[in-house]
Amino acid sequence: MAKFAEVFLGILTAMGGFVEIGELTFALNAGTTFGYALLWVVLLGTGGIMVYCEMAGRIAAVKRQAVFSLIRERDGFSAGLLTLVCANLVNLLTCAAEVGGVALIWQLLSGWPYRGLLVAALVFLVVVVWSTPFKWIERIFGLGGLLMVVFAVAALRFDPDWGRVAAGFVPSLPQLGERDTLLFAFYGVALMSSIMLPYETYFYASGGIEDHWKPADVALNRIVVVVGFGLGGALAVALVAVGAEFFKAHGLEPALPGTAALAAADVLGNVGLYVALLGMFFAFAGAAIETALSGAYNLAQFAGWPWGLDKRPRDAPRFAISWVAVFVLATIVVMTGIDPVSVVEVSIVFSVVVLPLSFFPVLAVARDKGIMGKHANGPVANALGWFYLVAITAAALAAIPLFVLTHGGKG
Amino acid sequence: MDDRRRNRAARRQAAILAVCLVALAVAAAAFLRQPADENELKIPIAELRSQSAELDVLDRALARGLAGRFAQAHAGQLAQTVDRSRDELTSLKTPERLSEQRADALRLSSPLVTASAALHEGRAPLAASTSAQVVASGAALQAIEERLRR
Repeated sequence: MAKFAEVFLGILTAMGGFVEIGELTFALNAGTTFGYALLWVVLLGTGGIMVYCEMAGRIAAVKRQAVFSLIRERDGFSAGLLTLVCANLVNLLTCAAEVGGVALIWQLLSGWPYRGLLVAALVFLVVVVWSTPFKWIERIFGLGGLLMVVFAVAALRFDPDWGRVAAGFVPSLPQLGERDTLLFAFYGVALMSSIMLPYETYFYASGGIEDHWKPADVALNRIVVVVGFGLGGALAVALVAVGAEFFKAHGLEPALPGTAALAAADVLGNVGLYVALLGMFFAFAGAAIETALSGAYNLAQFAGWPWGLDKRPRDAPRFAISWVAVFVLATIVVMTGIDPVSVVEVSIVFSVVVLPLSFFPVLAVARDKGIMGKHANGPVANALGWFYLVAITAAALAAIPLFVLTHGGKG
Repeated sequence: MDDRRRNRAARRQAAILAVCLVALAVAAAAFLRQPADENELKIPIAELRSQSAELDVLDRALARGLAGRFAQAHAGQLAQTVDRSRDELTSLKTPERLSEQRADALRLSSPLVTASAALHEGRAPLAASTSAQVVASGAALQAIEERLRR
C-alpha cells in the first residue's frame, strides 16, 4: 500500500511539475498561431523527456551518479566546463522568468507593485528551500501545479473538433508562405525545447539521489516518468487546444500569465480564474526552485562539492550559497524591468542548444553494460536515445538561425 | 620549446577570436542600423492588434462579472505591454514608403492607452464609446498588418 501511494504521488508530482512559464507561453501561442498543427511536436517532446529522464533516473538509482558528474567524467574538464557554463546560464534565465512569473501572479491577486513583489518572491523562495525537506518541496509544488488541470477542463468545455485534434498528432508541414514556414519551424523547435528543458533532467536525476533511490527503484522511476510525464504532456496538449479554440478565435496572442487565466475564466467563471492563477503560481514557483537547485546541483556535481538538501548548509556551504546566488541573480535580472516572458523566450531557444551536450553522456552511460550491468539500456531504449539525440542536435543547429530569422518568433 | 610553441598557438587563437568578435560586432551594428522592413514593422503592429483584442475580451468579461481586482491588476500589466509596443514602434527607423503606416498605427493605438488606463483605474467595464474605439482600432491595425504581410 505504501509503495502504491509512493508511485501515485510520484506520478501526480511529475505531472504537476511538468508545465512552467515557457511551456505555458509556447503551447498557448503555438495553438493561437497554428491551431492543432504542432500537436505532434508536443508528442515528440514528451517522448524525448521521458526517454532521457528515465535514463538519468535509472543511472541515479543504480550508480547514484547525477548528470553533471557524468558530463565531467565522460566529456572531460574543458567540454564539461563549457556545458556547465551554458547550462547554468540557461538555468539562470529560466529561473529569472519563473521568479518574474510568480511576482506577476501575486500582482494579479493583490494589485501590489511588481518590484516589491519580486523581492517578496525572492524571500519566499529562499525561505521555502531553506526550511522545507526535499520531498515536501517536490510534493507541495508538484501537487499544487496539478491545479493547471483547469486548462484541460477549459479545453474540453471549448468543445474542440476532435478530427482536427487527431490530425494534429500526425507530423506534417501546413501549406504556408515562406515567412510563416520559418515561424512554424521556430515554434516547432521552441515547443520541443520548452517540453525538454535541460534543467528537468538535471533536477530529476539529482532528485532521485536526494530521495535515496536504489536499484530496486528502477521500476518506480520508469512508471513515474512514463505515466507522470505522459499526463503532463496531455496538459500541454490541452494548452495548445485552449490557444487554438479561445485565443485564435479572439485574435489575441497571450503574452501575460493573466491572459492565460482569462481563458479559464471564460468557461468556468471566477472559480476557474482563481484555480488557474493558483495553478500557475505553484507551477512557476516550483520551476523557480527546480532551476535554482539545478544550477547548484550542476556546479556542485561538476566540482565534486558535497551537495543535497538533506545536508545542513554548514555541511554543504558552497551548494547552499550556489542556489541562493541563482535566486538572487535571477531576481536582479527581472528587477531591471525586462519582461519575464521575453526572458523565457530567449532561455527556451538557448536551452535546446545545451541539450545534446547534456544528453550524450547520459546515453553513453545508460547503454554501457560495464557500468550499468543488467540495468543498461535494451535495444528499444538505445534506439530511442539515438533517435532523440539526432533530433535535438538538428533542433539545436536550427534554433539560433530560426530565432534571428523570425525576430525571436514574432514574425 | 614546447612552452614557446604553446604560447604562440595561444596567441594565434586569441587573435583569431578577437578578429571574429570584431567581425561579429561590425555585422551586428550594420544589421541594427538598417531601416525596418515590412516584416519588422508588422511585429509591434501585430502586438497592438492583439492587445486591442485582449482589452475587448477583458472588458466583456468584466461586464459578465469577472473579479474586479484581477481585471484591474491585469489591465495595469496590459497597459505596460501597450506602452512597450508603442515605444518599439516609435523607435523603429522606417523607410519613407512605410512611415505613413507607422504613423497610422501609432495614432490607432492611442485608444488602447486610454482603455487600459481606464480599466486599471476602476473596476468597471469601459464606457460604450471607449469600448467601440478599441474594437475599431483593432480592426484598423489588423488591416495595416495585412497590407504589410502582402
